[in-house]
Amino acid sequence: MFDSEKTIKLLFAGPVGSGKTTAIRAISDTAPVSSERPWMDARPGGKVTTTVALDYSTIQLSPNETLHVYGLPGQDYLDFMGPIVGRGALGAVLLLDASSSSLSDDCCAVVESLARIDPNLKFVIGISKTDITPTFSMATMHALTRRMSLFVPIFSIDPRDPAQVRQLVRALLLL
Amino acid sequence: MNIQIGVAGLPEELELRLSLACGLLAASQIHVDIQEWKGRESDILIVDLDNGYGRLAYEVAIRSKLPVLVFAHNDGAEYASESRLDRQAPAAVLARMLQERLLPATKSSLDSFQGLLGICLREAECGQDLLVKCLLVKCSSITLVLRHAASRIHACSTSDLHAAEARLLDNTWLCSTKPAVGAHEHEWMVSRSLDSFLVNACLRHEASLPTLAGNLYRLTRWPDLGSVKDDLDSLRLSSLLYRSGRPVEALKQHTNVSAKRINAFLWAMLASGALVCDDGNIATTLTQPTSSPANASVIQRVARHFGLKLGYSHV
Repeated sequence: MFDSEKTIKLLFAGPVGSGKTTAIRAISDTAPVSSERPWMDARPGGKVTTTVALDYSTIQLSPNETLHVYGLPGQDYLDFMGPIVGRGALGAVLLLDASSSSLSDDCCAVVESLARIDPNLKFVIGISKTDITPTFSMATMHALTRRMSLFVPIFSIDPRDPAQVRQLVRALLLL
Repeated sequence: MNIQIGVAGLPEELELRLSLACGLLAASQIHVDIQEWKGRESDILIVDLDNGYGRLAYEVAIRSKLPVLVFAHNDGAEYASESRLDRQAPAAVLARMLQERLLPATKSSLDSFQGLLGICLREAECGQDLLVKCLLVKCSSITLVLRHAASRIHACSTSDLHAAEARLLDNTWLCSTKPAVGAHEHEWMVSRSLDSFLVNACLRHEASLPTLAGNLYRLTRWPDLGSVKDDLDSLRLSSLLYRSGRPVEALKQHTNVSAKRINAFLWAMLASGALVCDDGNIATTLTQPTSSPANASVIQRVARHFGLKLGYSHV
C-alpha cells in the first residue's frame, strides 16, 4: 500500500507563474505529469498555460529508491492539496517571481501555506526573473524574511537551468 | 580609493567649495562622497568650529577617535595645527590640503584595496543606509552599475561581466555615485547577483588575494549562490558560516576545502557585506528543526544524487 509518510518527497511551491513546472522539468529524470491547461487570463507574451491540479515527477536515487517531486498548485482554491500531498516531505523549494507586483505578499502567502503542511518543514526560496526585473532588490527579500523570523537561503535562479535548480535543492539539503 | 567625508556646521559657500575640492581629488584616484554627518559613519569629519553644531561634532569626533579636520577663524590650542584647513583657500588649494591629509589616514587593510574588489569592500562598510544609491564603475571599455545594497550588479553585456571578473583587482577602476533615477533605468542592462559575481571573481583571483587574519567569521545571511553553478564548496562554507562563527582553520578541517579557496570565498563575502567578524560571544539565532536518524539517512542519499556529500553536522 502506498504510504505517503514513507515516500521520499520534495515539494515545489509558489504562486502561479513562478516557474514551478519549469523547475521540476529541469531536474527530473522523467517528463513531469502535468495538469496544464490553457490559461484564460494569459497576458500577451507571457505564459499561456497554467497548472490546474499539480505537477508530479520522479528522480531515481537508486534502482530501488525514488524521489517523488510534487509541484503544489499556486491557485488558492487548490490550497487544500498541500497538506495531503506534502505530508512527510523532506522539504520544499519555494519559487517566487521577481517581476510580480505582489512579490512580498506572495512570499508571505506561500510561507503560510507551507506552515499549514508542516510547521517544521524546511524550505529554501528561489526567485525567478531577477535578470529581467531591473528594480529587484535581494535586500528587500532578506528584510522580509528577517521580519518573519525566517533564516533560509534565498537564491536568484533561472528555473530553466538544471544547474541552478540543483544548487537550490542542495542548499535545502544543507539546512 | 573611496572616502566618506562627513561635514558638520559648514556654511553653504564653504561646503560648495569643499565639494569642488573633493571633485578635483578624482584626478588622484581619490573618490569622495560628502554627506551631512548626523552621526553617520564616515572616514573623516570636517567641521566649522565657528558654528555651534560644528563644535559639538568636533567633540564627538575626538571622543570617538574619528579623524577630523577643522575650519576656524582663530588659531586655538584645542586642535592640532595639522588638522586645520584654511577657510579662505580656493578649491584647488583645499584639494591639495585634503589629499595630504587623506592619504596617510587610510591605513586599514580594506582601504588599501584597489580595484573593483576595493570598491565593493568600501560599499559593504557603508552599510545599508543608502538603498537607492547606485555606483557607476568603469574600467577601460567596461561599464558596470553597482547596486550594492540591493546585491545586484548590472552590465552592458554578459561578456562585460566576465571581463570585470578578470579585472577584479585592477587599479584602473573608477567609480562615481549616481542617484537612482527611475524604475526602468537599468532595464536594458544585464543584471546579476552581486554575491555570485564576487564569488566567481574572487575564486578566479584566489592566488592573489591576501590571507585574511585568523578571526572568527560568520555570515549574517545566506549568500545568493543560485548562479554559482555546481560550486559545492561555497554552499558548504555558507552552511557552516551561517550556523556559527568559525576560524579559517576549522573551516579547512571540516570541509577539506583548500585554504586559498576558503580565503577567496571569505573575501567575496566581505565585499558583499554578508560576512562579519564574530567575537565568539554571539549565539547563533538559528532554530532549524533537527532531522530524525531515519530522515538523516534519506537526506544523505538524496544529497548524493545531487552531488553533495554531507558531513555529520548537516543531518
